[in-house]
Amino acid sequence: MTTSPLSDADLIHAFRQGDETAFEELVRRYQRAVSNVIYLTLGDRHEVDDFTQEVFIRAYRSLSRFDENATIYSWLYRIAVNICIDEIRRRKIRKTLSLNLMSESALERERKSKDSYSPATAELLQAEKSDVILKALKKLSPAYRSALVLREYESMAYEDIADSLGISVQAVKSRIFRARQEMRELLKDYFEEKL
Amino acid sequence: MKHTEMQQQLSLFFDDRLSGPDRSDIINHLESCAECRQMLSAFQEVRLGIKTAGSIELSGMFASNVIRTIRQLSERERSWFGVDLVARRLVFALGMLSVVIIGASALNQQDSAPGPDRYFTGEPGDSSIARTLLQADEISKDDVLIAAVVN
Repeated sequence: MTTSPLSDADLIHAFRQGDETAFEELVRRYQRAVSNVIYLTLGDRHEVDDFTQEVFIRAYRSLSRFDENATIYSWLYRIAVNICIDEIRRRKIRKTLSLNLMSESALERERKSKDSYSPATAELLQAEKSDVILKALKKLSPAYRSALVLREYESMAYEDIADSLGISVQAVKSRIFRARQEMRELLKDYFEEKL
Repeated sequence: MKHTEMQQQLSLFFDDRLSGPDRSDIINHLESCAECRQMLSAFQEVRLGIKTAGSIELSGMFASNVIRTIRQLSERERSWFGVDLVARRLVFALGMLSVVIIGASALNQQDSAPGPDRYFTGEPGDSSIARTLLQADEISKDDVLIAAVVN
């Protein structure tokens, strides 16, 4: 006989009854998603572990006040996004970013790679594409970036994004549209090569 | 619908949030508008790019590490609010007491320091000096010197 996995609500309830392993299970369940949202929002791998840990420490401390009708992932993402926005402000990332989104050398490498396709170069292309996308993401304002990441990476519904970011659904629609427009503009050269 | 409005709708169409006539309008528009088709492709590229860029894998021990860190932090906080706190409060109180004692003694020294000002009361020189000298328990060299200079 197999037992069905406990729901998030069950785990939260168990945690409130003093079962710490229930919280550990919640961490396991969401650690990957939270760390990737942090990674995509901050745009670099440095300290992703630390910030992810910070999210769960804050969650642990305030889980007793968590509204059981809300969704835990929206709440965790809200904590994650707030931590990222604080970090972005602290580092003043936007001021120190390089303006070169796609270097000529990167374009040149891609042109050459089209002529010598192999599984290994496909991986390289993928890595380069990820790099280009991350650089473009970093150029968006934190407000647009967080909305777009939650939508595109986590496939979250607009309502959940609104809940996570503490804004209206209308604002989510607007931010996502503008973020996509900016991404398209930032990646114009890249897309011209691709499309 | 204007082209710019259509582009705004395109984002909602891409997220499958349009239905009925709005959705049909977009589909019809896409058939005749290369720019919007290209925009839709760009949206798709961005989505795929973001999905594949999110490649972070934390260690298998991450969850238990989080719990361990939480325990350590809790222990640290407990010690801060326990015996350690009494010791810290005592040190703080002693520090504050020292500051008060040093401050009070400095003020006291300032008040008791004699100076030539006591001779210059604004009254006629002779009577003021005489009064001061008569009231003094001891007459210092300074007293004699200032009395001589004033006279």
